[in-house]
Amino acid sequence: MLIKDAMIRDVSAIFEDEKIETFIRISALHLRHVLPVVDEKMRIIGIISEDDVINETIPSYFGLLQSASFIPDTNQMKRKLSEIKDEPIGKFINRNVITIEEEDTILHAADLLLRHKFMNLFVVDKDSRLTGIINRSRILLGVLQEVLEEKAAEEK
Amino acid sequence: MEVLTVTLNPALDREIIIPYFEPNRLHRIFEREKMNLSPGGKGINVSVILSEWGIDSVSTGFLGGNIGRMIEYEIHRRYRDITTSFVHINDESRENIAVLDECNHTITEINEAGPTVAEHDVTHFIKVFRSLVDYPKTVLISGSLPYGIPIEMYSTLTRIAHEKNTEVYLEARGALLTYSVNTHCADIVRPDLRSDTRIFGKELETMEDYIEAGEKIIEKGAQMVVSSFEIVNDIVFTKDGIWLLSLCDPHVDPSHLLGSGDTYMAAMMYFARKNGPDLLERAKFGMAAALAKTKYLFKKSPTIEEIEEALPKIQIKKIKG
Repeated sequence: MLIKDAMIRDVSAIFEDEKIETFIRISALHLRHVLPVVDEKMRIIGIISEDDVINETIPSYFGLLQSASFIPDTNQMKRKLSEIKDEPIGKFINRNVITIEEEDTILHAADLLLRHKFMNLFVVDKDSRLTGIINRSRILLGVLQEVLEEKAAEEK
Repeated sequence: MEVLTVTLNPALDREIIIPYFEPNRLHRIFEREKMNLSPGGKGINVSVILSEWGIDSVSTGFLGGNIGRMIEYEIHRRYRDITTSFVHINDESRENIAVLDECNHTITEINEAGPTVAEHDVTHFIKVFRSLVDYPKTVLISGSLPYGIPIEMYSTLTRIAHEKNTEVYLEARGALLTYSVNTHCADIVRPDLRSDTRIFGKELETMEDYIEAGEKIIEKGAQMVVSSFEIVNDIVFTKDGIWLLSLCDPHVDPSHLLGSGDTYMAAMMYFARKNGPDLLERAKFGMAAALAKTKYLFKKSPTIEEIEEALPKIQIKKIKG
């Protein structure tokens, strides 16, 4: 099965010069953990995730601690977010974006997802223009469909 | 991607068939097929029709809340040829309910007003539109504006599309149509006259009124204006003249005209893509499609064969130029 048979044809995206606030709002309303960042020709130039923003709002030494639960100061996150909410997302995006094309197989997508621990991959055309998204459940659903179809054909 | 369609106020259309429908009574529906849920709104409708004729499109606009997510989900589930790029907003998208009673021959419709769009969502949408319009050859802008959208929205979108040399089809009504035509006119304009026959602040009554309004839209820069006239006729305006398109057999059941405007627009886009830029032939094909559509009561599009069969039933008379 190919990506084009399993992908979701949605090209919701965000632009480099938009604010962190806009990213938070779009990802919450659209139920997306990651959004593709595109240029004015819909070419993907990076991705930005909820993790990227959360990482910016908690103190860097948290990673060194076993647990942050004993630190009572939740205001720190608020303070940091109020500092960065109007900044352009361009500062926080990951530009080493791994994409996939519609003619690739879903096996290839599954491999990339596992290897890089991604939840989803963005699908692009030959000119790097965004054409959709593929996630783990769509891959599993695609494979399951093939299994069931083959089984039905055998029984005939 | 060939076509971009804009629906600023989409709807979830819920059609329910209830025999002997009446108020103050409990109606139970036992069969699943008596209820039909479909994504709606004029731009989305055109994307759906194009998809049935094998033409890809991208659909954009505003969706909100769970109704909005259902609209998007239904588009993805049903149509492989439609790519979505909607801006998701805080307010809930609208739901339109139609109760169809085939025994009493009634249609009862309940249409919601729809959401209010916040200013920051409008700003984001313009950015989205600008990047989407780079690719397709044609843009269709159709339908009403939800609350919160400034009246200049359609002329702004048309101007952006024209900067990229993209052809713009517009269907709108009343004050919105007048404003859009006056400010930055689209290429192919179809006034939506179903519930408001006023253009340029004047009620259209006689054929002379229609001709005056159509000529004015051409003056404002449209390549072609297609205006319905007395249900079974269309008046087509271009820079080269004015034509009356009429049906050889003018018996059409008006209750079957639901959605025929969207079919008309979709068919003109289909024709232009397959057969080139001839304007009058394009309008004729659109009218044939709208005529072929009247065979179906509900939201269903005719096949290309059915449209071609309907073509000889249309006669053309030049009235000016």
